Amino acid sequence: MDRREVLQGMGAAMMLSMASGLDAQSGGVKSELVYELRVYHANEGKLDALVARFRDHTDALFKKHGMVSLAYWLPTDEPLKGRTLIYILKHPSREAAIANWKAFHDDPEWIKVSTASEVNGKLVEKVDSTYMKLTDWSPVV
Amino acid sequence: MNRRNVLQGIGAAMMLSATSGLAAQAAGDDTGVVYELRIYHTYEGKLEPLLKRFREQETKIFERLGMHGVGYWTPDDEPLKGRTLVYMLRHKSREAAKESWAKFGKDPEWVKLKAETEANGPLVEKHDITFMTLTDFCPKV
Repeated sequence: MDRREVLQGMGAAMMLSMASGLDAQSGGVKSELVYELRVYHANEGKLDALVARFRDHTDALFKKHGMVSLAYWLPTDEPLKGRTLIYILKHPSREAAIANWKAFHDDPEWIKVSTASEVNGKLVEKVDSTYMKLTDWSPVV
Repeated sequence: MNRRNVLQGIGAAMMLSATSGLAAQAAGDDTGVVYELRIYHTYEGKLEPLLKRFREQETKIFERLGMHGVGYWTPDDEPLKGRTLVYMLRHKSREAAKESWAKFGKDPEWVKLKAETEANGPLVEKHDITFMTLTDFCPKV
C-alpha cells in the first residue's frame, strides 16, 4: 500500500465515521431505542390477580428501573380473552433492557410482591417476549 | 309498584344516565376505543417490499379511513427477524374497525396498490390479529 492508498483509506474511514456520527445525531437517542412486546398467558383463573399485580405494583417497579410501558392491554376475543395480558416496554437500548430486567428481578420489593401474589400458585404460564425496532416511518411512541 | 317506587326508579335511571354521560365526556368519547395488534409473517424475501408498501402508501390509506397507526415495528431476533412486521392500530370502536376494514378492502387506491405490489405473488403469508382494550390503569396511546 503506497502513501496515496493510505491517505485514501484514512479519508474513507473519516467520512464513514462522520457519516455514522451524523446518523446518530439526526436519529438522536431514538436510534438505540428498543421496544419489547410481551404477551403473558395466565394460568387458569389467574388473569385478574395478574392485572391487579401490574396495577398495584409491577408498573411502578418497572418505572423505578427505567422501563416504561406504552400501555397495557387485554385481548377481547377467544382464545386469548380472559387469560392474556399484553404490553409493550420501551427501553433506551438492548443492553439497558438486560440490565433493567436484572435489576427488577433482584429488587427485594419485587421478590416480596411476587412471592405474596403467588402463595396460591403461579399467575403466569408462559411469556412471549419480542424485541423490536420502530420502522423509519412509524410515529414515535 | 307504588308511585314513590316509580319516582325513585326514574330518579335512579336519570342519575345512571347522567353518570355514564359524564364518564363518556371525561374520557373524550374513548369508551369504545379498541386497539388492534397485527403481526404479518411475510413470504421469503418479501419483507422489504411490504415495508416499502406501508411506508409509501398503506399507512396513509389507514389514516384516511380513520384507522390510527399507534406504531410500526420490526422484530430484532430470530425466528421473526427479517420476515415480520408488527403494528398496532387504534379504532374508535369495534364497529368502526369493521367498517374501516371493509372500506379499506374496497378502496381504489388500495386495490391498485395491492395489484401493483403483488404482481410477482403475495407478500404476506399469515396475519395474526388481536383486538384489545386498554386496562383500567394505563393512559391512552
